Amino acid sequence: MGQQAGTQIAPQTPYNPGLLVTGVSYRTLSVEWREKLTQRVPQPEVIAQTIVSRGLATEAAVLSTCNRFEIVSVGGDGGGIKTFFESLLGSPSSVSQALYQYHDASAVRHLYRVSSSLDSMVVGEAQILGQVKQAYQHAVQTGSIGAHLHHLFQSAFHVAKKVRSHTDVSSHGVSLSYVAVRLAQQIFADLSKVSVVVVGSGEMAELAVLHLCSHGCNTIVVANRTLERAAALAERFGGLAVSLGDLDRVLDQADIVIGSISIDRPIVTTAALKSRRSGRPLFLIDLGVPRNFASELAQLDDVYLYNIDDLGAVAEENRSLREAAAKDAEIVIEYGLLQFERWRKKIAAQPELVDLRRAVERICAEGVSEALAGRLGESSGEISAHIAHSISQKISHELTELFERQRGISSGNEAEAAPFVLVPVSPVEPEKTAGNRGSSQKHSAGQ
Amino acid sequence: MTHLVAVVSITLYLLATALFLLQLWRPSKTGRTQRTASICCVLAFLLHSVTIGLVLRDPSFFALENGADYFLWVSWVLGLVFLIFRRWFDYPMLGAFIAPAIVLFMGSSSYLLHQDASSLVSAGGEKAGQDLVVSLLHGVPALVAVVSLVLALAVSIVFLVVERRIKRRTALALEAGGLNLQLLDRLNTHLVRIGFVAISLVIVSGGLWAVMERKSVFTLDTSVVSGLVVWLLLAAILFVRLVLRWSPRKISRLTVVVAGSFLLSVFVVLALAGRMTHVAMWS
Repeated sequence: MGQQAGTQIAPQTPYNPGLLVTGVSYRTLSVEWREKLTQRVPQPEVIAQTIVSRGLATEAAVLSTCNRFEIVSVGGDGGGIKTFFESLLGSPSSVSQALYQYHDASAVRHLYRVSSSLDSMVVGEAQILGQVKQAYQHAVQTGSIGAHLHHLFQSAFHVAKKVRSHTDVSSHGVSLSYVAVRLAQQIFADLSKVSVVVVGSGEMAELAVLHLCSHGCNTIVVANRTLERAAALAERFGGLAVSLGDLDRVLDQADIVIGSISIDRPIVTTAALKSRRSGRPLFLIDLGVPRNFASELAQLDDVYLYNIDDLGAVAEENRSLREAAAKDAEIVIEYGLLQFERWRKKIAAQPELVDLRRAVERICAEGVSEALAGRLGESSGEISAHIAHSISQKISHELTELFERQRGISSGNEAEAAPFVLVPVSPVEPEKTAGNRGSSQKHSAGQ
Repeated sequence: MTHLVAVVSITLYLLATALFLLQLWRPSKTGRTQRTASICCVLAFLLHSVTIGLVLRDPSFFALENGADYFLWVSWVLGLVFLIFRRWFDYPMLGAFIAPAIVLFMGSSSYLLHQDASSLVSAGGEKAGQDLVVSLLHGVPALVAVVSLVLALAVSIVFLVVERRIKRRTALALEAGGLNLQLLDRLNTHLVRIGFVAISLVIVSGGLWAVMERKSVFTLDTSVVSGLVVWLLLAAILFVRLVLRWSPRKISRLTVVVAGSFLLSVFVVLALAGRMTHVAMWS
C-alpha cells in the first residue's frame, strides 16, 4: 500500500484502551490486612489522582469499603498498578497473593456484580451501591476519570438499579432486626403510634429498638432488674425506664414487647395477657434464652409471638431466596455487559468513521475542483453529471478497498496486517488539489 | 351494541382476575403481571362505564329498578372503589378477591342484558321507573350497602390470609407489603359501618314506600328478609367489635359469614331465580 502525504493508512492505534480492576476484598484478604490498608490509605481519591498523574493509567477511581479496596482504571500497564498497589501496604509478598486483577469484560462484569451487591458479604445489601457512587463522585471531583470510566460507572449504577428492581436479591431481609421491623410493619399501621417495651438491656434488644426507632417508633419503655442500666438504655432512645416489678403495669399499654433478659421462667404468661388485651394487636419479640415469653401466648388472638429461632428461620429463608434471586441478577448483569461492550465497540470505531468522513469530504472537494478546472465551457448539466460520476467512482473505490481489506480479500500483506483506519488528513485546499489531479488519482488507486 | 361492549368489558375483568390470582400465587419479580392486570381493570372499567351510558340512553328508564342493571351498577361502583383503592394500596391480594366479585355481578347483569331493558321494567310493574325519589332513597343506599359488603368480605378474607401467614412464622409473613393487619381491621370496621347505615336507609325507605303503596310493611320477599337479617347481624358485628372489643380475627370471620351469606342470597334471588326487580314480587 502506497503511503502518500495526507492520505496514508496508519497502523492501528488502540482507541479502546483496556479496562482493569485491581484490588483485594474480604474473599482474598484477612480483616487485619484490610484494616492496615484502610489506615494507610485514608483518602482513596488521592490514590486515584496519583495513579493518573504518574501515568500508570489514563483514568482511575478507587473503591474503598471495609470489605474491599479496588482500583478501577483505564489504559496503562496492569503491572504498574499492581506494583503501586503492593507499595501501599509495604509488604508485597503477603498482598500479592491476595491481589486480583480483572481485565476488560471481566473487569466490567466484576464492577457490575460489586455494585449490584452480588459480591458482597451479605448478598443484596444496599450499602455498597452508595459506596460505589461515592467512589465515582470522588473521582469526578478530583478529575481522575474520563469518558470510559464515566460511562462504566453510570452503566454500573443502571445495572445495579435494574437488579434491585427486577429481581428479589434485595427484597428479603437477612438480619434479625430487619425481620422484626418488617413484621411490626405487617401488624401495625403506623409505627410512630406504637408503644415499645424492652425487657432487659441486651445488645440484640438494643439493636432491635434502634431499628424500630429508625422506622418511626418513639415511645420506648425499658424494664430491667437494675434501674440504672434501664435508664442508660432508655436515655439513648429518649424513653422511660422502669424496674422489672413494674412490667405488668407498662405491658397494659404496650404494642411491641421485646424480651432480652436472662431469666429462668417466662416473665409474660397467658394469664397475665388474657385479662389485659382489648382487641389491640400485641407483637412479642423474644430474644432471650431461656425464653422470656410463654410459648402458649402464640395461641392467643391478636398476639404474635416470634422467638429468636423463628426470626432466625425467617432470615435464613430470606437468605436462600436471595441466593436464588442472585441467579436472575447474573442475567441482568450479562445483558448490561453486552450493552457496555457494544458501546465500547462504537467508541473504538469512532476515529475510523471520522477519517472516512474526512476522506469522503476530500474526494468531493477534489472531484468538484477537477471538474470545474477542465470543463468551463460545458453546460451545467454535463458538469454535474461528470462530478457525480467522478465522486461516486472514487467513493466506491475507497469503500471497495476498505471492504476487501476487512474481508482479507486484498493480496497486499500490509493491507491484511494493517488496520482499516484512515489517518486524519489535513483539509484539502481546492487551489492545490485542482492542479494536482494526477496525484489524487494515484492515491485512489493506491488505496 | 350494549351487549357487545359489556361482553368485552367483562372479558377484560376476567383476564384481570386471572392475572391477580396468578400474581397472588406466583408473584412476578418485575410486577409486570400486576401492571397488566391493572391496565385490564382500567380498560374494563371504561367499557363498563360506556355500557352504563348506553343503558341510560333511554330517558324513561331508571337502571336501578331491575335486577340486571342493578347488578351492572353494583359491579361498576365496585370497580370504581377498587381502582381508587389501588391508588393507595398496590396489593394483588385485594384484586384477587374484588375482581372476581365484579365479574360475578357484572356477569349476572350481562346475562340479562340481551333482554330489552324496557320490557324488564314493565315486567316489574307499571309504577316501576316512575318514582325516582323512592328509587334514589332505596336503590342507591342498597347499592352502597351491597358494594360495602362485597368490599368488607374481600378485606376480611385478606385479613385472615395475612394474619395466618404471620401466625405461621414463615418468610411469607413479610410478603404482604402494603396492607397491614391494623389497617385491614380498620377498613373492615368502616365498611361494616357504611353497610349498616346504608341498609338502615334501605329498610326505612323501603318500609315507607311499602306503607304508602301497599299498606303493608313486611313481605316474605327474600331481599326484604335477608336485608333485615343482615341489618341485625351487622349491628351485632359493630356491637361486639366496638363495645365488647372482640378481636379483629373473630370480626373478620364473622364478616365473611354474614357478608358472604347475604350476597349469596341477594345474588341467587335477584340474578338467577327472579330475573326481575324484587318490587315485582310484591304484586
